[in-house]
Amino acid sequence: MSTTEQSNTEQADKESSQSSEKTHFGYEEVRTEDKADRVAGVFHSVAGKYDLMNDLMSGGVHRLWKRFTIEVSGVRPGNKVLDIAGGTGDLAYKFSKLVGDTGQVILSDINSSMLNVGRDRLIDRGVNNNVQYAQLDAQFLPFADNTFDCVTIAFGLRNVTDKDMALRSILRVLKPGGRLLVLEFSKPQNSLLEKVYDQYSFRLLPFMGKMITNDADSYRYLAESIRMHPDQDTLKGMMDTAGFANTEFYNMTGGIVALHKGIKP
Amino acid sequence: MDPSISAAITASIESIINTALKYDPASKQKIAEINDVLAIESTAPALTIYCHGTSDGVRIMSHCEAPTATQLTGTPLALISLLKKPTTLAGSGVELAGSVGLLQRWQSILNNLDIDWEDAISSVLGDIAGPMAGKIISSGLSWSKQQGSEQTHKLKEYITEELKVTPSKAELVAFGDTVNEIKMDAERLQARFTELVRKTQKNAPTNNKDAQE
Repeated sequence: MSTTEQSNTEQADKESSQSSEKTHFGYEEVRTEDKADRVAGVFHSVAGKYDLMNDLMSGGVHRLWKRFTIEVSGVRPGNKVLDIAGGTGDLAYKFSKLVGDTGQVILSDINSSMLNVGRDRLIDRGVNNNVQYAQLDAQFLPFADNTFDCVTIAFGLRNVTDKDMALRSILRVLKPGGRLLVLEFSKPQNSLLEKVYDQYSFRLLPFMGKMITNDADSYRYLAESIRMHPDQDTLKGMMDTAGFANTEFYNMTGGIVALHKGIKP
Repeated sequence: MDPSISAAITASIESIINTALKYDPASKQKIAEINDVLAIESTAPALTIYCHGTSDGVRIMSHCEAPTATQLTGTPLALISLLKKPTTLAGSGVELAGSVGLLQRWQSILNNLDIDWEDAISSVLGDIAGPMAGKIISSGLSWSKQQGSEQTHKLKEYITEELKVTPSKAELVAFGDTVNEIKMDAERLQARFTELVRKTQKNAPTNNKDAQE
């Protein structure tokens, strides 16, 4: 077999294998290569009213979760920060104030609609000196090794197709001593709270989505994707496996949300 | 404590302080120059908050990655009373660790706070009703402060002079002086007695010897 033929065969095998690989899209199993498009569809649909829905769904508590994330980040003037899946720029806005004129914040999202909303919002709030915007995939970060002091991904990791690949990619772009913060829905630590939370997620949430964005399916996906996301200990293990050191997590609101922290050795 | 709750507490405190500081730009500017972190630890409920100055006013946190320059530890009541009587920590029930200078800077700012109530109210009620309401609030605060002081004085007099359940300050001082005098007399007597015993013991063998001879 010639080299060209061998290469073509390998490519065909890879494509065949890829097309047969499955991943989760909520409770639904989809082909791996289709997940990004399906997720993109969800966020294109909700981008315009994302903030309103966040406030309604969490009763405003998402601001407290993000506030705590900022505190744990330890970001100082002059730092370089990458906010992945930054959505409407809540974290990026705070980081831009903390890093000052000598620092840099990159607000990124895989979804153009979300990124546009975030960019408009930050510009409207007068942030224009130290924030750049990038549409990117967390699995393939287009930055040099050892670039950032801090990388955050808030409510985004569960939508990434290959989470392990994204964690390795983040580790690569962090400076040694830099930290990753993953803010994500997790597993409630109390069985009663879990039951109430289930009722809320699968009954009230899609209803609210229907009323406000006329899109119940996207919010049903949100609830399902939260259940399919790794729990606290599993995600910590994934970060350890990716190569992070001193990994730990903080449960918030009874474990409904957890903040994971890992340091690049 | 769940980080959501502690974050809610610190967010509320921060919001209240920074809203007030909008109407005292001089204090706000002084606070902006404080970069060192002050930690305030309440023992019950167990909660530590961290604060330092920023260009927006005060930043209050429930978690701090930066090193703290000064830490105050005590019950919430003791910590609050420290704000009212900033001159000394003695007997306040508050423990201090780290730099005293940072604490003094904060206390100096707190003592010199001068909130422009007229401006604050005007931003809500408008330029006509605002200043009037502001003046009423300012004079009301001044009146209540004066009345509070007078009422405290009258209450003290009633308890000591009318009810006679506690001694007056002069009586207490005189009693303290008397106790001190008795204490000193007792110490002198003790010293004389000790000296007498020592002399007696010293002379005792000689006397016995003379008697035998």
